[in-house]
Amino acid sequence: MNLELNGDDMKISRVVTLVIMTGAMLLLGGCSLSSTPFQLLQAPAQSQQQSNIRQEVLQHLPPHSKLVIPDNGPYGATAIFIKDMMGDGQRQVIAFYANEADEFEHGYIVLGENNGEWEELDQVNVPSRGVDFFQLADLNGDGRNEIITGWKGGIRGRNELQIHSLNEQKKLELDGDMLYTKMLVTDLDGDNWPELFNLSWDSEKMVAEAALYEYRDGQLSKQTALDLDGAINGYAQVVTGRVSEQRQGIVIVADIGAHSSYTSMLIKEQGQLKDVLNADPLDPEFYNAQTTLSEDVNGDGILEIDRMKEPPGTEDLPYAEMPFIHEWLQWSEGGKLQPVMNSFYNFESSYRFDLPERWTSQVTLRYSGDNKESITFKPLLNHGVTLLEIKVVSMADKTRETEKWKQDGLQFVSLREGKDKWIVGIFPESLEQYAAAVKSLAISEKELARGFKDMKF
Amino acid sequence: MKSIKSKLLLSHFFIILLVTSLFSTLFLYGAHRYYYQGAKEAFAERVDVLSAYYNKFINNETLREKATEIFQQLPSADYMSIQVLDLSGKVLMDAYGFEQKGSLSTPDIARAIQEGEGEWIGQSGQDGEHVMAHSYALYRGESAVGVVRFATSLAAIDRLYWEIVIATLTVSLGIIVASFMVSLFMSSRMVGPLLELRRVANAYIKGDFHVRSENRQRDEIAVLGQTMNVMAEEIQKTDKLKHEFISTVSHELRTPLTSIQGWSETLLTGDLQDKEELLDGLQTIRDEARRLNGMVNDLLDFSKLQAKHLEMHPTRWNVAELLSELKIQFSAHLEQTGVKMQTEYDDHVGTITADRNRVKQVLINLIDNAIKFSHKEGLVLLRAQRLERELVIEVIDEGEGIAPADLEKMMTKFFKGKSKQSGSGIGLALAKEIVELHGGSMSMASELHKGTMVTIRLPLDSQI
Repeated sequence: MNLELNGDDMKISRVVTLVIMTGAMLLLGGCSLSSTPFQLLQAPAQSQQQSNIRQEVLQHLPPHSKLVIPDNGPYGATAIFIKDMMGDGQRQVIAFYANEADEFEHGYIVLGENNGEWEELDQVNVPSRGVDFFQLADLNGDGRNEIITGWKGGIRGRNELQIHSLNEQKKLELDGDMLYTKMLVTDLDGDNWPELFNLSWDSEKMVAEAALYEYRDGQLSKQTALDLDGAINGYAQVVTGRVSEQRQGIVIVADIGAHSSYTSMLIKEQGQLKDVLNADPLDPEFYNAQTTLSEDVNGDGILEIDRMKEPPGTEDLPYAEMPFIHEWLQWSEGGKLQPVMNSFYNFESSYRFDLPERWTSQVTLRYSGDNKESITFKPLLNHGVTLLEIKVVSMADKTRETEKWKQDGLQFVSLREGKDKWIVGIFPESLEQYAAAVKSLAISEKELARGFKDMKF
Repeated sequence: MKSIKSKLLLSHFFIILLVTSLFSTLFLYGAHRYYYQGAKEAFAERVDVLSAYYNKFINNETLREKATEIFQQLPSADYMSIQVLDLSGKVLMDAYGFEQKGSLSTPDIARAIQEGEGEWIGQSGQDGEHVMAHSYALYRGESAVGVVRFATSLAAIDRLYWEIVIATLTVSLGIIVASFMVSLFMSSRMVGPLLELRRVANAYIKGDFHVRSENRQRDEIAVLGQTMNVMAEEIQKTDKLKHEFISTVSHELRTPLTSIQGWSETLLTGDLQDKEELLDGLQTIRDEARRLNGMVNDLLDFSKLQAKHLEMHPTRWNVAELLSELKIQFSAHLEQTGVKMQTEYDDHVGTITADRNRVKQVLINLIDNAIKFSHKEGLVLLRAQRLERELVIEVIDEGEGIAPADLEKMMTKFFKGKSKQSGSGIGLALAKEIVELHGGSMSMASELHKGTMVTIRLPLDSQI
């Protein structure tokens, strides 16, 4: 068709041009079209308050400094703490830093809020190798928290403890300092007046001392002390918590030898520190063949200690093949150690299995497989019955193994399925044909699932 | 009834809609893929490296030690947040350095604990921010003890993509509107000529053939209009010829009838004893009746020819015989009119296969015409010549000739020329049809006042 441009065409082409121009302008108006997708990524939005505080903190850090996290303390892995130090409802910010240009310079700054603005109150600079410890506690009972900080020293594992408080002018005052190896804020006499527990170990002289300090009237003073065995490799654990219904205590796990350890449990009795597990703290006898840590394993709020023991019926096994039972003990006021639970640990696959209570002294354990992939639980009375097998199966073998168990008439419960490992509990369909004593040991799927725990570090 | 215009508009609209939505969908899909997939891949690439680094060099520590160590070795990346979580999802370390309350439970974390790594895109819990998170298990020995989680915000990409979507939709809408307007205009232009043709055709239905299509374009519709114009012209011409024919035929038929009527009345009222007069009269009546019969036969033949019912009966016959027969047959007529006739053929003229009577009819017609238009003492030449494949017969006279303008129409039906000579006006047309039915051709050459030559070419072996 022969298209002549008349008036109408002109009008239309003008409209088309207008539309295209508008579209192009809209498109290009975005202006970020030239950015690559990656350049458009942003950090997720922080809360306004946090970002203000962070801004302020970073501004007031000494040059070449960066934020660091104290190694120990009751709080999370945090570098900036927002806490009410004065107990007056006003919050302060405490932020720890390290000077990247000088490895011996560490410290912290304190910010206060003034009319909604955060401003620096004071700064503490400690020549040290790092921040070991941080806790706020009202040590002297004046209603204000003291800042208790530990600073890593050099040789012999000696660290420096400092206690600071904010004075009326909102400036930091050094109230006391001392050297320590491990530091805890605790309340062993239960008077709601916290003490400082100072564990000092001289690795050179092979001496160790546990001491309780109190901070009164601006003075740090030693209340009591107990000499401990100093011929150790170090401390695997120093922890405070309730050790019985009424009492706070301290559990210390000291490494000795290649990978064995001994455990001490300190309480304060008649104003004196006392190791309730070892009659003579300088010659402790509460040994474990492997280093085992204490924890509140049954969740009753009381720390249990771990004692490794050989299961019954394994007297003939060499050490390397010994499937140790971890017996969790609770201390009681009379000095008796009460077993509360038996567990089997697989550190390789990081799981724990808590044995049913009725299995105590009734069941023996045996590893099987080239790399101890399996642990089997059998009645002492009848080694021909397998009550339970917990097996680590590689994912590649999953189908084959499953088929096999089905053929053998076994039940199985998936306990944990990982990227290339599958942990599974296998147990017989029924034990009806066996004697009542064996039958009563049968484990249910529920018990198995309840007993299986992922290890947490 | 849907008009062509609305059909055109509708189909254009749907095509444009289809194409535009197809292309904008494709474009948006491409843009979406480019930005989101691109961001995802680039982000994954970077955090993959980081997590691998953390797991390689921070290996034997507890989770808290790992968290502290990772905090010391944070990359200077302003496009993401880094967190370390324990296996329950509690945030142990946040790269911003603050204590984080509560725990996270997005699918990437569970997946990382299960399978080593997990990713998730969704709305973050606190403020509904569009977030992309990659989590990786942190291992101690072989077992996962926690998760390091890298999160980045897709808000800027969302904004940009939204802008692209709006712009694309605007442009698409613009294209649709503009195309609709163009097709509205185009369809009007196409339908206009059709409406004009309808007007012209309606006039023809009412018998008004003077109306003409005025479309001067060069497209198909315009050509159709011009064809209709030509058709109207032809109809007008034919109509005119028909009228002339009817008046001629009536006139021609009336001449012998008048003569017959006149003589019969003369004979009835006259002296029946006058034998000479009686013979004269009866002879004239017979001749005129014959002429009438001849004319009616012509008309019948012609109408048969029109209806394609004219049958041919080919036989093999001698051409020289027919020519001499014709000469004898016309001798009386020649004597009457004083025109001379010559035949000219050689001995090789031989035989031909054709319908002898029809060919004779054609030649009689042609000779009759030649005599009719010759002057007294004029010469009519009948010449036959045998060529390799055809027989050529020419009838040449020295008569009035035909004006060049009439020559073309001479052989069409009902055309009689300007002469007042009697004749139905179908003789030549009939002759031409007969010759062509034999597979031959008939042509005429003439010069005014000099004479006319009619040439017939017949194939020697015509396939009728």
